[in-house]
Amino acid sequence: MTRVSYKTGRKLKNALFVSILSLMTSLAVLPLLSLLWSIGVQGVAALVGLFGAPLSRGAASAVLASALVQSLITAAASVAIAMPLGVAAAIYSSQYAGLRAGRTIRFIMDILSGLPSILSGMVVFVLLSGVSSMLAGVLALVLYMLPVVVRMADQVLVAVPVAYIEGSLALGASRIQTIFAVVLPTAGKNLVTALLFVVARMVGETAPLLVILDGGATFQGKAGFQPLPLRLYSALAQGGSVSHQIVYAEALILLAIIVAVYGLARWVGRSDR
Amino acid sequence: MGKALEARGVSARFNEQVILREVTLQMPANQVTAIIGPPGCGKSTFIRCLNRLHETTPGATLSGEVLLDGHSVYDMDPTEVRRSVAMIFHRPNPFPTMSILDNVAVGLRLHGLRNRARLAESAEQALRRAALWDEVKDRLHLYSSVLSLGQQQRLCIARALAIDPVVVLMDEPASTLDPLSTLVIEELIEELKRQYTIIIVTHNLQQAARVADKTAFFLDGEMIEQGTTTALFTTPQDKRTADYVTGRFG
Repeated sequence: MTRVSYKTGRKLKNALFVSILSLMTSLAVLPLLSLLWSIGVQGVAALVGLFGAPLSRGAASAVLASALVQSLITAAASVAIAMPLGVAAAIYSSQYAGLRAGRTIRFIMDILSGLPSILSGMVVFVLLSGVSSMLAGVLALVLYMLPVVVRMADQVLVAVPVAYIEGSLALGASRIQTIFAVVLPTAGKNLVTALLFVVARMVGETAPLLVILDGGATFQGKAGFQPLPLRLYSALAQGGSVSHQIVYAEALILLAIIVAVYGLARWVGRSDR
Repeated sequence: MGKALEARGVSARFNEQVILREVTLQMPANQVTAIIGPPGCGKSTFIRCLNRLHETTPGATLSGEVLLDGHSVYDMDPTEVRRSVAMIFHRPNPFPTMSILDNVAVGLRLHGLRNRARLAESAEQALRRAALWDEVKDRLHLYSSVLSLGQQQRLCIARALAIDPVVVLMDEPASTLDPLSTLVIEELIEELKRQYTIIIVTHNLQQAARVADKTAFFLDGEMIEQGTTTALFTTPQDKRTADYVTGRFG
């Protein structure tokens, strides 16, 4: 009798905890899923609506296309600047800097990458005295990305086993030869994956760009520097049914880009290739 | 032919911690010198001072002199020293991103040899000297991870021999290997000493007795006693040596 009740009690307790955990998980996941669902459904409808109409200068679809292109160019340019710089800094901090210097660099990079991203926009805004341009946007994103790139690349490079580095040095290879022949190839896949994650994070970043946008022009939908996240923001601010449509179309495109980059990162990082 | 190596008053530290105290030791050409001693006695650090690898670790410092054939290695370019004084590590460390062939050829390639045919030829020679050629000749282009641990260690030996050193340092080269692979490595050492001077660190006393012509006993960062292997094992002069070789501690 006691055995049966003990067993029932244990099962009951187990069921209770499993249901509480499932409930918590649903609470965390459901809002996200519903967000993705509504962006997906409404976004597709909006894209069909927008691009179903004939393309003309000033049409919503043209503005959208321009925003997409600007987004891609801005992202590509900032990646092209931030990646080599950041990886070079990480090579220094992981391979050359002594223990104390390495720790200091890591500490500073941790603080910088934790700063609100809007601050990097502010710095560029002040430096370029309020000029809004793609260049300013690129600079702001570079500033925002750089500490993250350094920190992530540093982590990957530090993880390369010392045994391989010493194996190379013991063959009479110099430090720099060791880095190119052994350290970077060994880190290779993980390094690319880490950098792609940074790119995915950066593509959707709005705050640093928000500061440097040329207020008037942007809000009236006129020319000016306006990549996707910003377009999204200004369309939201405008209101009205056309802008509602645009918002969803833009959100969908942005989401698709980010999912694509994450997917690429995971594919590169797969261990069975 | 191998060249003689000599350590004169070598002391080494990591930051404040003293690892080696004033070690003086002669390592004759074309002989096997074994360094024995309990874990933490500084034997690995000692041979890392011989090819200037010790100084690559952050916080590492040293003093004293190491002479290769009468020339101080601390007056030479470290990369030159390491080309002449090769090293085998306790855990096989073939480069995981390279094929078997590339692992052996990488040293020569780093030193500027580009000719593919000559690289392949030198690699084959090195693999033969490391007694590995017959086992890998049909899969030179596979990753080194297809090899067993013992084969990987011989691959590392081939990699070291390919750059034509005069001294080969071995840091417990068989400590992660099974008895059979250990035997193969020991036979290889016997063979290699005709062409190279060999210094082997080991905590395996039988191994030292089997392969070494000369043995030095280290304890707490000091060189306690050195001599021919037979003398050190049968008639040790120092009580601590006697206690160690008879298995009373360590």
